[in-house]
Amino acid sequence: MIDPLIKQLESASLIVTAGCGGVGKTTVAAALALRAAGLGRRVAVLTIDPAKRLAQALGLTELNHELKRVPTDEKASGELWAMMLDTKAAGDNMVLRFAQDRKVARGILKNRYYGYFSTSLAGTLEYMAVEQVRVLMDEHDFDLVVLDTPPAAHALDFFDAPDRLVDGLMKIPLNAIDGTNKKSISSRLASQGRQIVLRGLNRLTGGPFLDDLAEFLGQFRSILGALQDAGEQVRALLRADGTSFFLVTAPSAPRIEDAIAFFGELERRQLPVGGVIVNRVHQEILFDTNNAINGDLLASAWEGAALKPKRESDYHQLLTRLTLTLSEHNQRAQQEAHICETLALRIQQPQFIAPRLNSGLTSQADLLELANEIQLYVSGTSP
Amino acid sequence: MNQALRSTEILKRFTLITGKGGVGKSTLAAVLALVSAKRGHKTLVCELNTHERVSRLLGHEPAGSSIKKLEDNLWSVNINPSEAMQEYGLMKLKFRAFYRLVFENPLVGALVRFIPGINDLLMLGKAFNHEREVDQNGQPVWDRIIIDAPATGHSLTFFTLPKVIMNAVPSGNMHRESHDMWSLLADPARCGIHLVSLPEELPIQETMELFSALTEDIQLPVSTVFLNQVPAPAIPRHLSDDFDQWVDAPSDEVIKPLWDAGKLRQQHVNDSNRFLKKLERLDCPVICLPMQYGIDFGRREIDALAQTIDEAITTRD
Ligand SMILES: Nc1ncnc2c1ncn2[C@@H]1O[C@H](COP(=O)(O)OP(=O)(O)OP(=O)(O)O)[C@@H](O)[C@H]1O
Ligand SMILES: [Mg+2]
Repeated sequence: MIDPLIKQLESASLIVTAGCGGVGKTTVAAALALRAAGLGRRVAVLTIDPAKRLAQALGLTELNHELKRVPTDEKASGELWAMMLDTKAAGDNMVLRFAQDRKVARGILKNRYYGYFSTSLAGTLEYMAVEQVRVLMDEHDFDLVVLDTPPAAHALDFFDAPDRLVDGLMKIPLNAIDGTNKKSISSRLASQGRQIVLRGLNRLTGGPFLDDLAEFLGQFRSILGALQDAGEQVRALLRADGTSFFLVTAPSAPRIEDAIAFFGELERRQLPVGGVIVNRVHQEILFDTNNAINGDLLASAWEGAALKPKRESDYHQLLTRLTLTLSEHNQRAQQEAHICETLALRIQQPQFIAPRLNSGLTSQADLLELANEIQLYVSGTSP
Repeated sequence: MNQALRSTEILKRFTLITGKGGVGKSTLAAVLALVSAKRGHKTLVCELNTHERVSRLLGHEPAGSSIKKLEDNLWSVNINPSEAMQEYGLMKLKFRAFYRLVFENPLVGALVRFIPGINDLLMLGKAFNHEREVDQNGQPVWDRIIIDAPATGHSLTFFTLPKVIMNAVPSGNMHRESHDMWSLLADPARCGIHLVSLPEELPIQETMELFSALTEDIQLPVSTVFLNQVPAPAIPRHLSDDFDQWVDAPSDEVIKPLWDAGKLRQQHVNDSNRFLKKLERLDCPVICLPMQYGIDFGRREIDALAQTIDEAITTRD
């Protein structure tokens, strides 16, 4: 690993890995955290992904909502801790903390829509879970927290979730769903002479669904201010000095387009970007195409390795197939190098290449190897 | 060589394709759509509010949010949630003025947007309506509908949505609709859910987890698992054992790179076989799609993959 990244691992207090699903964000987060611990820092890696695989690679039997010490090399002076952020608990805590009294809090938690809402509120709860990051930094005195963001089809859902929720709640006319108003929307619409709207509504959803929903949102709205404050805190944390976002992507055309779009969005939100990591890049196998190769050369290497001698036609076939395999491999590597170059031209940020390792990344040693192999990409050269 | 399957197993009336990000869901959607159209089924391939990969992979311009014919027997659409919402509203309320009155009521508009997963539900619902669509003679408009579903992580909530709504809304239209949707998803005679995976540690593990989550936790049948990007062996079979025993890198600088490339590929092939065995322990057929080597990935590669599928389909049906 080279200096610019080491420098960040030595000095940052919060590193956030962001990107689309399936590019290896979680793995990169763990690798960076492990490396930083190797540099002597007290590090915590937090993931939102239900990441059994990360736990296994780190050498933990399971990863849950408890902060756990990861057993690392005794020689290392730093420490690594790991934890999965608990979105449900984050939501419950938020309600308990911010509701004006326990009765309202219980009302919200008991409302059956609260459970169902975990799907549509999911993004928000995850964001709120980030608040735990602050608590961790304060209470446990970590030097560095590495935060893995949830995979999302639209990666920015995560960052926009609280605004969406707050905006959405603000749009609902207050008098309509004020939690203390006992009258249901149905009766209110009816009393306002809006039977026709009511009839349409019933035709759309049927049953008391919207009444129940409105009641729930009314209660939920009562913690709106607190929600806004918490959102504000997280927003500040994500923009604080010492915070650094790493955009993780894969070396394929569609992923790179996603990454470029994502990068624009991060900039627009003034989130501090530390660099882009292109993960799982094929390395070219250097080969001088001027070399004349023939079956004899292969035969002598084959037999030199004390393998059973083969017929001339076998060597010939083997040579053809190996040559094809090599050219397929290098074609892929060159194509990926081209993609990295495109990215370098379009994003003015340090770009790092994490090579594709042949190990399945199943142990700490593998993760550390990954971290150590990450290279700074210099535009105009092949990785 | 893939095992033989009936086309009715691979091409159900309503086919959903899911898997982790970037594994080849859109690729498989394009491939299956092509196989289906070539077999004479009137086919509609649906993307759900994405950058539209499928029509491009097939070598056509993006379709946009209204159904567009790509080639013989093949149509495509990129479903847009707000249009789907309007369509649903109009369908239920019959008149535009009525629709306006209801949807432009600020309370209603705001509330509807708060229904959990409403966008996904609307898009799935739209695809579902295409399944039910009939022409003047009462004949189904579409023979096959293929849906490029969202990446997993997100997708479990996607598949549970109809049930969630069904339970959240005890009666009425929305309850009925989500109940019908759920019945379709759970009916292996009409609906096929395909999982796409890659021959690598993490994707395989996630596919196994997804399989049990779908079949056990939410009780939806999985139709087929597709193992995509299966590497081609570098070494002819009768020489591969010998090659495996060649463990020390040759010193010759001309042969060394060839040996490196061969070793790397053989390792992928061996890993891939190991992962395939793992998938084959699942209670459902597994189909391998070969890695397409080469610079571009487009219509030619889709055609090659379509041929693989064709070869796996028996003529028994
Ligand atoms: N059999 C294959 N051989 C070679 N390359 C492939 C194969 N299948 C897919 N690919 C490559 O993988 C890339 C990703 O495929 P695709 O877009 O279908 O994935 P996806 O699962 O739909 O991704 P997303 O989660 O972004 O929607 C394609 O651009 C293509 O280059
Ligand atoms: Mg896709």
